[in-house]
Amino acid sequence: MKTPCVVLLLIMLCSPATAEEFSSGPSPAERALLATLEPLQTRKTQLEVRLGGLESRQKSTRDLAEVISLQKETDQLVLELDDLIRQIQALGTQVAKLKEKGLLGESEEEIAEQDEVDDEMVLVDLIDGQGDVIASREGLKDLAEDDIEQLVFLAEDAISLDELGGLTQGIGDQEVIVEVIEITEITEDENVQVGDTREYIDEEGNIVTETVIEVYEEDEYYNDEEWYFADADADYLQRVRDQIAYNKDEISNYEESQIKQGLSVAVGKVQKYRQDAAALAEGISSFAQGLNEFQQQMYEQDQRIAEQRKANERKQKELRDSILAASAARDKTAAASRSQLGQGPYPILDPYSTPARNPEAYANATHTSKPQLQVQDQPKPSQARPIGKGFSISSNSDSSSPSEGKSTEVLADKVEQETALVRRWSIDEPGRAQYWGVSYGWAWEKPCPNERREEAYSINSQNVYVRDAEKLNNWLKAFTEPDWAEENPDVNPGFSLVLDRELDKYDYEYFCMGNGLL
Amino acid sequence: MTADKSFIALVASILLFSASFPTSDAQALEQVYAAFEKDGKPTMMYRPKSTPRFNQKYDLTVGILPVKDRRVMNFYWYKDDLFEEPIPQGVTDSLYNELRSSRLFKKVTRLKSPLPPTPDNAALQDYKEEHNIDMVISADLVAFNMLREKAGKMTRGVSTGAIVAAPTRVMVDVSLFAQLIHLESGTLVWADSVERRGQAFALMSVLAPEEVGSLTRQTLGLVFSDLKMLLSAGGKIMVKR
Repeated sequence: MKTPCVVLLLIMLCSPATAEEFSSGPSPAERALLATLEPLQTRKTQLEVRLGGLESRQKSTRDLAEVISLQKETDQLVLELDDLIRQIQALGTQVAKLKEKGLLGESEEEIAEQDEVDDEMVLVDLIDGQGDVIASREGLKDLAEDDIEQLVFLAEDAISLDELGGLTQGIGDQEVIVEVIEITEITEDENVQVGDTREYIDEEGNIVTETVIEVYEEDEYYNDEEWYFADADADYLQRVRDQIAYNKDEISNYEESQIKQGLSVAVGKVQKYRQDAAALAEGISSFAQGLNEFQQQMYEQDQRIAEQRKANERKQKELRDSILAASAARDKTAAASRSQLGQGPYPILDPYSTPARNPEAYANATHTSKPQLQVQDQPKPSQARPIGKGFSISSNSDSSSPSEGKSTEVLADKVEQETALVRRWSIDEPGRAQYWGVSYGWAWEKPCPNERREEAYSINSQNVYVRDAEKLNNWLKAFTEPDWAEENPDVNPGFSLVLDRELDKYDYEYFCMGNGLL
Repeated sequence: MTADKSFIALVASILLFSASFPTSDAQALEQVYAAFEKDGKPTMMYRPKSTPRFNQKYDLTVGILPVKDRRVMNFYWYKDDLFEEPIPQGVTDSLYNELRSSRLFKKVTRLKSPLPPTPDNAALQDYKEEHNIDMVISADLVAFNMLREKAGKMTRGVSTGAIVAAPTRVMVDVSLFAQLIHLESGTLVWADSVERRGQAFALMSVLAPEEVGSLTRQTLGLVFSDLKMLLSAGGKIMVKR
């Protein structure tokens, strides 16, 4: 596994520099650095002055918005100032390195001081990639006079030369090569391989070519000969354990509260479900009750219909019986009429009679050869009599005798009697609707033997026939007693007749004197 | 009209049946399983939290060994396949994701082959060379179970008597024992156990798979958070000689 850290070998080809440039006055590189440094220093001074002004303004102002704005500007300036400081420090480091390598000119005092230091310094061997020593620091001074210079740039966070160990510099006695070595950490590019090159133009306008001379693996970073494992801080570990235990308790408490809350909500929902179910059950019960009432009503209605049907059948039977009775009475009347033919003062021509039936009348009659039909064409209406029910008014009353008029009235009375209706009442308390009040029995307009209602009685000026007149009189006495009203608060004292039915003569005879039953 | 009568008869039969035979726990569990089959099994995977941030503890490459299943119970009763992933694999993947995002190590890789059966020095060296790693994390899954207990009274139907609501407390227990081994030196750099119990409220009839999945993932996250904190605080410190 190749690591992203790459050692780059930077080769910079520069224009030849003369030895005089190194020995007398600042070198081009130094001048370039100083030229770069001066504006930065100026800018730094300006920023410091501005920063001081801003800080004083910030202290004096009371406006919050201005303070915030000033703070932002201050932060920006601080960042810019920090950046400038880093650049200055980097440049200073480079200058120091160059001076250390003797690649930059120094003043006479500095040279003197450096000579004293050099006497005390240990020589630093330069080795190539294979670890061979190829030059010493002493050689660098010699190289400084060559046309090609060697510059060593170290990145800001780069490790030292001692740590690098294998930093190489291709220095030969005859070669004129300047190697600019830069340690760069390329974290993103993992495809870098040894031999890869790249070119760019530096700040001085020089064309710089970089060559990757080594790509090492970070695994090699670890070396058990250099590292060992020490025990961790037990106190800190215990604090962490306590913190974890505290977190557990907090989360447990939170979860407990959530569970209780959920349980409370669930119980509330269940109660609501129960209430809804109870309401539903109540509704169903009410519906069932209503259904039962409806069924009861339907049953009662069916009963009433059945009773009406029976009553209709009974009425039809009664009607049939009455028709039969009427028919029988008509036949009887007709027979009676036929029996009177030729016997009264009123000759009646019976179209169905024959001379054989009445030989005497036939003998007194003028015998003609007229057909029987002609005889029928000559009846006198005044001498005709009705047959059966009904009556007719004679048109020749002037010629009739008094006996003849009396006979007509009797006949009319008889017919009226036959067609008159006989009423039956219910003896009820006064002021109540029919069927709902107190009933004291039945009362007939005429005596009704079948019901044993033959005692005459008078109710509200209406003569009636009842079963027990004494009992009714006792009721009348009771109505006048002082305790009656208290004992019977819902009953009105007295009698009233409520019409029950009206029967014609035949029905009356059938029900009251025949076999019929009401 | 006939269909209506059939439906009413069916409903009445169900109500009578449920009233005659109240829902047992086993039947309720089968309903839960049916819900998992119907709605889909939840996943154990989640995105690790970015907090708390840890400083790099070991500038080394660590390999995550497959988690060993040391449980004595299935996840829930006699079934252990309620998640998309097999449980040991899901825990292994979660451990890998958590340690990778923690930045406690320089690099985290996933190992598929277990450690040598006889982990002597030579075998560990070979294993190290083979997988190009410095350390391994070996984890044992001690507990990974879901438990349920009644949290309130069972509520039965007003007329049918069937259980319509069973408040339950759902608990997910996760316990893990992990150790960090430095292969080259054979040093047991760190070893500790972490355990957590996640709890939630649920009704038996509405225990959704995603609720189980959410509770499980939450509990796993807490377990690995503890693990990282303990590893950061309790792991041996690399010291330069």
